[in-house]
Amino acid sequence: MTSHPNPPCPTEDATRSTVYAIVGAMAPMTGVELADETTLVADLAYDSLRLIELTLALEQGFGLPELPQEETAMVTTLGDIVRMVAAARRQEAAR
Amino acid sequence: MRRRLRVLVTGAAGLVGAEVTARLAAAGHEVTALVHRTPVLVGNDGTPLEAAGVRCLTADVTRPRLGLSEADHEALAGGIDRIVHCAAITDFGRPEEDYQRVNVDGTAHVLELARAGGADLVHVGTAYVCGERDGLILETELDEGQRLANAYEASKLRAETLVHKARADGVRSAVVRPSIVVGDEHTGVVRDYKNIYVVLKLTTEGKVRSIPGQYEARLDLVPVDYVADVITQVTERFDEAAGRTFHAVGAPLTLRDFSDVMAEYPSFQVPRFVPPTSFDLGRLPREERVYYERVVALYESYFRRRMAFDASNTAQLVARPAPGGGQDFLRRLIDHCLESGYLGAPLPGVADVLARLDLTGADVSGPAANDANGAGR
Repeated sequence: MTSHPNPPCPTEDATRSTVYAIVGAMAPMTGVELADETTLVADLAYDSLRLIELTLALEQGFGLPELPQEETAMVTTLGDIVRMVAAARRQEAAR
Repeated sequence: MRRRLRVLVTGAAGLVGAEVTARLAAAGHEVTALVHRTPVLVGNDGTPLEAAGVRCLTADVTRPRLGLSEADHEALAGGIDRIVHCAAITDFGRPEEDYQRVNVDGTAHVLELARAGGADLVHVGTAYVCGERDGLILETELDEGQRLANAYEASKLRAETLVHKARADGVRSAVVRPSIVVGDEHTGVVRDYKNIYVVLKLTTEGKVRSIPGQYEARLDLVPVDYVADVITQVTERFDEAAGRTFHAVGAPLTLRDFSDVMAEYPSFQVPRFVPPTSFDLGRLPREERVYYERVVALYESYFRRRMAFDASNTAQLVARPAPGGGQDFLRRLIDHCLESGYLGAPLPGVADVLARLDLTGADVSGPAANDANGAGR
């Protein structure tokens, strides 16, 4: 796990911009302005397979271990992802 | 002369439920469309259902009395002749308790409603309650001690068993068992790309290049419009259908058929089916391994089965001939996917996106991606 985009003990704000970049670049629907309220399925046209790929991209982009399915299944908005990734990063940093 | 029926359709926002609702309403029946969240019904071709005679009711099959007040539940029970129970989780890989809550408890709650109102029940099951049995599967068979491949199949077996048991205390019912529900028989059009479509996408885009399976294995794909027709006829002709089970199935395709048809499309990668004993997950490149573990593995059992579904009851009751077409039908399904853009225009892969964003960590690259389990071409 090398070359993290951010220093350890990351905050939500530090995570947010990278999450936005990944979610935006992976999105089937382009040209949508991103906000915490933006929904993955309705606004960005993610389908089940692309959501799995997004999970992969987040794990690899942030150097995280596999995000549990119980957590990824609860995600509907960009804000949800920011919170999920920030929590996972804090957990990683604490190890 | 047909009587105007008062029908409750559960799962009315789903792929099959919406088509059944449309048919029942078009035939002049009074339909109560039970929906969980989605208040707008959309047909398989993507157009909103604006049929007269359809009333939407928000309820939750996972809760006792469908989450309705005692008075509302009583009023509902008293105002329906028949229930078509389509509500179910049909995708794979969900937590076990989701299947129990929706597919099993949901069916129990719907049976309570039928019992309370003296309504007849048309239960939508799955042909794959046969589990991993081989050979000819009869409509009269249910629990033969078969091994079930996943929590979905197990839940649908428990649900259908509940429906059978309820007959003893007076709930009249018929069961319709579709196989793998896919696009329209004549146009290939489908509203939701799930299950087999996801595997088709992963393989044709070359993201999954080898699958443990046998070329002789059979997948039974059935057009959604045919399934909706069978359910509608069973509902309308319930007196003939009561106490019986109807397979709503298509012409089975072998994995060889899949492979041959996919090879006709120049832009497609064609997966190799390798003998399960020589398949080694550890030899897959990291990305392919993840796709395999999170998606393909859920369907693995289906790539080994060689069952065939007998549909004598359906042939006897339903006027519409069983769908045929085999390879031609598969071409129609794929052609629609290409027209709609679901296939043929792959989005950038995970590694490409991360590289573009300069987020390529050491953990991103896997082993060389060129010869996984001999799938190299």
